[in-house]
Amino acid sequence: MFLRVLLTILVMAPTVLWTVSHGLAQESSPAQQIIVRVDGASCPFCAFGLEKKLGQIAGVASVTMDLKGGKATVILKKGAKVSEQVLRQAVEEAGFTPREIIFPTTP
Amino acid sequence: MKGTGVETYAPMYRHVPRGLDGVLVIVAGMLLYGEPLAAGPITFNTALPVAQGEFILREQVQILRSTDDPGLANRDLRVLAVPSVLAYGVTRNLTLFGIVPYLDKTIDFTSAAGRQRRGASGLGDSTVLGRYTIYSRDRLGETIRVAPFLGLKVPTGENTKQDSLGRLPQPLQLGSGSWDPILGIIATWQTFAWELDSAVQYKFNTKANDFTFGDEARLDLSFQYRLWPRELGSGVPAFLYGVLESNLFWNGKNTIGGVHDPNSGGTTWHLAPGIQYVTKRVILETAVQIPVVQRLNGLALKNDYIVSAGFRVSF
Repeated sequence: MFLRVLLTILVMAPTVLWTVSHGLAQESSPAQQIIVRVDGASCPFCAFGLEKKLGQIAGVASVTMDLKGGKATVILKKGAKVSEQVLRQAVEEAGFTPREIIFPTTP
Repeated sequence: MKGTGVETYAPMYRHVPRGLDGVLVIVAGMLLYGEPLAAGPITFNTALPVAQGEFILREQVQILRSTDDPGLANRDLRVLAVPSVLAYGVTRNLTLFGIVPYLDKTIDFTSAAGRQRRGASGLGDSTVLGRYTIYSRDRLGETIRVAPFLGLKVPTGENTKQDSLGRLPQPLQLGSGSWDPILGIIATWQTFAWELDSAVQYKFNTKANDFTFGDEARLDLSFQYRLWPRELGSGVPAFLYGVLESNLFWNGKNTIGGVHDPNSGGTTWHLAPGIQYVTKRVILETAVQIPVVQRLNGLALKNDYIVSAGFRVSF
């Protein structure tokens, strides 16, 4: 009986520990924020199409546009990743010209 | 007039003063084919993009009044047009437009039988347009675009309507019955502070019901200046634009049974001050087209004004 309990604990422990640690790591990692610089968007009505196209990318949680600065701030869902090519394509499909795309630097 | 074909139409025009054709053709051209969709001019189109896979809907109410009659019939023409426009971005460069207008045309005039009224209301002729951006140059807060377009006016409006006086003359009908190609080109230069648009358009009117409306050509200019906010802040603030537009419109003479109508066609130049409130998803706008020059042929009725008000929504 004792041996069976011990064996169960030995088998389960690594799984539980991995699950807890992985979950905690996810909780503590901040949402990814990407800056997409865009040329050609000059009025509020144009900005909506751009926000919508970027917002339709899989893994994107929200998009905030700064018209004057010509930049869109793209917030990703936790654990999600988006390639530069996909972001550029979305800007082009909105009818504008993508410039610099700034990904968060990893420590 | 025997053998010219005009006698076929004599009964149709018996109760309508001469010159009715001209003004209604000009009215139709000015009311129905200025269909901007992205932010831009109020009375004609723009070269600004519609995002790929996205729709924009535009609804507008246009009211026209023409009472300046050079003849003795004391004509009073009122036209209400409500064009619905749907635009779809096929690719970043190609946009398709569908335009379906509701029309209500009424004319009062004096004849030997006294003061009379004729008119019609219902769906008018539809238009499909394809616009393709051939040049674009984007900078921070600035874009320059050039986009030619091709279109076709489709005879969806009723064109054989009758009233108690008989068949309505062709210009009073809701549709022409003809399939008419349209071509043109638009250039747009937009910055944060202002926008400049220019368009040239030609419409080849074809024959239907033994009647051919004169071809139509127009040259349009629009300048929009941001009045508010004076200083551009962060985010996407709403813009209030002051708008001034110029519409030069030429209309050829109508042909009835192969003979030109001398009381149709001519050239008009309207100036249109307006105002436009632009947010991310909705545009509210209004403008008044005021005639500056009207050189119309024969007894064609002159225009007093055209008032436009409407909205556009992106969804």
